[in-house]
Amino acid sequence: MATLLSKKTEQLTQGEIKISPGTLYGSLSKMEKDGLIKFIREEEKRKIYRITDLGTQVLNLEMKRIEHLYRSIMEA
Amino acid sequence: MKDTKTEFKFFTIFEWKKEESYLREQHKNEYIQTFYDCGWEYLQNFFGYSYFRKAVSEMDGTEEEIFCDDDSRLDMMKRVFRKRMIPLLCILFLIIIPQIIIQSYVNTPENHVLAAIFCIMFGVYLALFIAFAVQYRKYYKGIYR
Repeated sequence: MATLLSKKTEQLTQGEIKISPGTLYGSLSKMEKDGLIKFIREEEKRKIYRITDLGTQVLNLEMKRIEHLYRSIMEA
Repeated sequence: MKDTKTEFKFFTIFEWKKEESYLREQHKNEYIQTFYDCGWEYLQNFFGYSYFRKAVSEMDGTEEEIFCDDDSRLDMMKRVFRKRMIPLLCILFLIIIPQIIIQSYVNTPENHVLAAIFCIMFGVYLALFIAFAVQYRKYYKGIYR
């Protein structure tokens, strides 16, 4: 999971954002506790998660917020 | 759905210690695996700290850290602080304060000296805790502007 996550974010942001392991582990635990992701299964000591409905809602809200920010910057 | 490994573990209530250490081992392995996936090699544990290392050649030019975010780093510091605080608080409440009370009841010069010593220790503790609180506020403000 961590391999996929850290490599994927690096790819998506063209190397701008690299998530460090300490932060990553804590974030995943918190998100699971808050019900944003749920544990599916374990593969070779790695936990596989999937986003929940609540997680999707939060994600959409956050994307809208970033979009509004971007628009206000472009209009300024 | 291939490649799933199902583990059935049977623990009676009397084996809770065994179950606890088994789960702790699982979490420890996941933790080490997360770091490994980000390129960090696990070295050892020492006094409650875990040590990892990563070759500079693997760092893509930046100086990578284990925490890339202020909030998570602050959480880690709080955790370390609490772990160190608990023994100090135990000493404060189980030794220093009771001793001050006990020694003040007896009216001999030796006990007065003892009471004075414990009062001084109490003063040192108070100064330490105030210093911690001030430092924490400064650090916190430094991060959140």
